[in-house]
Amino acid sequence: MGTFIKRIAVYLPEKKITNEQLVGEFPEWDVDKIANKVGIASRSVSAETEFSSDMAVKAGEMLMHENNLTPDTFDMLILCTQSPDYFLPTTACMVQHRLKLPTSAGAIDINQGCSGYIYGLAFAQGLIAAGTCRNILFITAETYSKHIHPKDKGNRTVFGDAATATWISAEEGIAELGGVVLGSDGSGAENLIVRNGAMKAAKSGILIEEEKDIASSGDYLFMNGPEIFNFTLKAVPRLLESTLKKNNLPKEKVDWFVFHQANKYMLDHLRKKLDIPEEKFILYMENCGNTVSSTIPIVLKNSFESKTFKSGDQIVLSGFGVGYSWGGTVLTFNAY
Amino acid sequence: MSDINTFRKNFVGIFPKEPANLTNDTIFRSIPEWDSMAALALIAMLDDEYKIEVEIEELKQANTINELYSFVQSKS
Repeated sequence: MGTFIKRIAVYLPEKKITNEQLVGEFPEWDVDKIANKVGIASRSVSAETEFSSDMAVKAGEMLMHENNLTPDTFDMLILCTQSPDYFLPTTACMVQHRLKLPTSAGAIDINQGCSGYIYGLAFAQGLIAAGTCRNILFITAETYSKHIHPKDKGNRTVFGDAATATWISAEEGIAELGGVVLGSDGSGAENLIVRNGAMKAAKSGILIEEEKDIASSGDYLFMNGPEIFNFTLKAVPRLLESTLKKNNLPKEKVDWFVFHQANKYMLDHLRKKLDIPEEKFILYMENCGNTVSSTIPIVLKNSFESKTFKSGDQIVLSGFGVGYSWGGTVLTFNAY
Repeated sequence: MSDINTFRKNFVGIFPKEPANLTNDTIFRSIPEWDSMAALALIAMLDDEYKIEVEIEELKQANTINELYSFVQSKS
């Protein structure tokens, strides 16, 4: 039995932070430098009172509205987030209720970041193959902006908030999901982390004004850029190789490469290292930023709408990052 | 393995413009131009030009162009 992506919807919060605004806050920065290196001109940021559940509901409603679906279409909700509303209950249960999905539908959060879309596809494929579900609503929703220190110009430049909703089905759809490979390496856990606020370490509660060294404050998102970059240089070539092998697909037969949109600098380097032609490698983050688990579905939605893909196209998806964790798969495009 | 002059040229290329007074013995981590973007660019340059995979911790042992050159020689 196949697994298909039937439709995708994207929700970007209304509030945008432009490079000019960032330069206003951090005058030592120059706009050209930021824009050229990271390939991001503006990013969406959730409102102060807008949380992952709210964004997930909006993405789910958009998916149903845009495609004339009713909530009883779905028999499962998977929600990928690393910024849940609460420790418990799982955010997915609250979203099930607010979207009026039937109570016969299962609901669960998965905690994964930049590889989260691939993990979600893998779980959906497993649930469909086992006959547990036939129509899955898979939502990614992230408010990393709430994890980031207001004075952390690096992370504020790179990350944007977003939510996406994907309808995954046992019935024919836009694209068929191929074999999935997953991987993880917790030795890199310290390099991308929000250390405080869960069970092991309480939030220090140090006032932002008193903050001297953002990197040493465990209350906020910490990213060791060089370490993460170094990780991707090692992990992504292996991920691509294993994804192609799993799908018996020679690299030359791939029509499109859709990688997690981390930042342009890193993706340009990876593309050259992997010898991928520029015209097959999709970059799409200029007006939304790195939206963590939402980057891949945002690229897919945009490519569907711009009619980039042709029937029969083979599309490689690669997600990698926080954990460390990674995942890859191949989509065969039908028609939109 | 290229000579030290080529290596120096590659190293300087990681900065948007050549830092003033950068000798092969300058502790490059303490010049104002050194930031996390430069660290990324250094890793990218070592990968591109010398095809070497590094561990950040061992890379941190090299603090001057001369030391970095020796490090790269030991790796390739």
